[in-house]
Amino acid sequence: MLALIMAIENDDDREKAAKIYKLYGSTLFYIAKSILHDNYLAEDAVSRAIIRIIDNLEKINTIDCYQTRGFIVTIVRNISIDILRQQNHRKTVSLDVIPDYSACEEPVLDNVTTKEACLKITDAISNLNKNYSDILYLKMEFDYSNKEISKTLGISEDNVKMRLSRARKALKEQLLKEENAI
Amino acid sequence: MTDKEKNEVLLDTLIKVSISEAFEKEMAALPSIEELDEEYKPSSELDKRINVIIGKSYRKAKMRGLAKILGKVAACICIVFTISSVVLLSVSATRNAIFNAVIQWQGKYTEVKFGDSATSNDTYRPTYLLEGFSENSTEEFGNTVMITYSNEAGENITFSQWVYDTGTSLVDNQNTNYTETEISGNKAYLFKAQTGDDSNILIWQSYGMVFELNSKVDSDQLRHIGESIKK
Repeated sequence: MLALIMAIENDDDREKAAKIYKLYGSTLFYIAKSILHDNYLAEDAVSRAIIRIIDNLEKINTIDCYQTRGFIVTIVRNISIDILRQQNHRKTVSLDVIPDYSACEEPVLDNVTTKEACLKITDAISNLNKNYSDILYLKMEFDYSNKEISKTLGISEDNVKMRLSRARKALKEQLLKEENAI
Repeated sequence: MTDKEKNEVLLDTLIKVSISEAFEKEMAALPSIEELDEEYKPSSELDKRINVIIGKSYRKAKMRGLAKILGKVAACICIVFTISSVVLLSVSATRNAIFNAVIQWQGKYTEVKFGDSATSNDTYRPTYLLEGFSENSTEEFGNTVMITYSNEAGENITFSQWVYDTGTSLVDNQNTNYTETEISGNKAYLFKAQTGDDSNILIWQSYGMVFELNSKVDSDQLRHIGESIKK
């Protein structure tokens, strides 16, 4: 009976994965190609993304909605960046390495309404390195635990913690930059 | 809590609110799926490779926490609060006041979404069921209890319940028409199936719990069942 249940679940999973690829195959390829600028590498990224999506299928409930599209974009984007790193490993500095923003301790949202503050933050997130905005999306939009993010992005939990901390600091820096530009 | 800690909490709160908009904005900026299908359609070789990957995929059966799934994936019901016009000032005393306002505002936000968390682990059951249906199984997935009622014709009614967990509840709305309704005075969300192959879904919050009824039986009957829920 257990075997039967598992088989049914796998048939459902296969059908779900096939639907996701059918709907978002071109999105996956577009994102990968825009990062890798090479058809062969982009196809490799899409294949790897599908494997990771299958491994995280339980996180996808509704296929046709922008959150799911965003989820698969996040996955393929991170895989493509990894491939790019591997391709350029001798000359590329890790995308995780950013300046230390520990000096950014002062409030960066003074004299504005909460509504204005939210708009400023929305813009600042849009301007963040995708490595950081993606992890913030997974943490705050999808409410994932560090372990779930680790599985989704294929990085260690320590790396998740570090990247989240850096994302927050980078966001503060971005807000300060915008504030100073006014 | 120090001023610095308050500022950190305040910023985190604002990030949490802003992230959804940033995310939606980014997705909206992508070319449409139709446009991408025109220009970036994967090659037939890639299609074949992906079909092989999917065909060979074998995932171990997982205990899926329905609350977790509903709470974390693809928002289809997303109740958004109105952002207040509180001014964020740097003067310490004012900032304290603002901080308290934000905490209240957060409290309201949570309340709007699904109220305070309850601690009860008792299971609720409907006191009304359609003729011929009886309880078939009760399963627990994490903090979710799922009771299945079946009849001799093989029709099922699934009743799931979990303690309020996360702010946003999400339901698969594919092939359904969404309407708002009421269950025992509480706001409820009905996803009415468009075809006989799809199920009606009724979801609402009450007693600090989130309840979900899922079945192909008539949606009015689901409402009656929902009205009869008792511990």
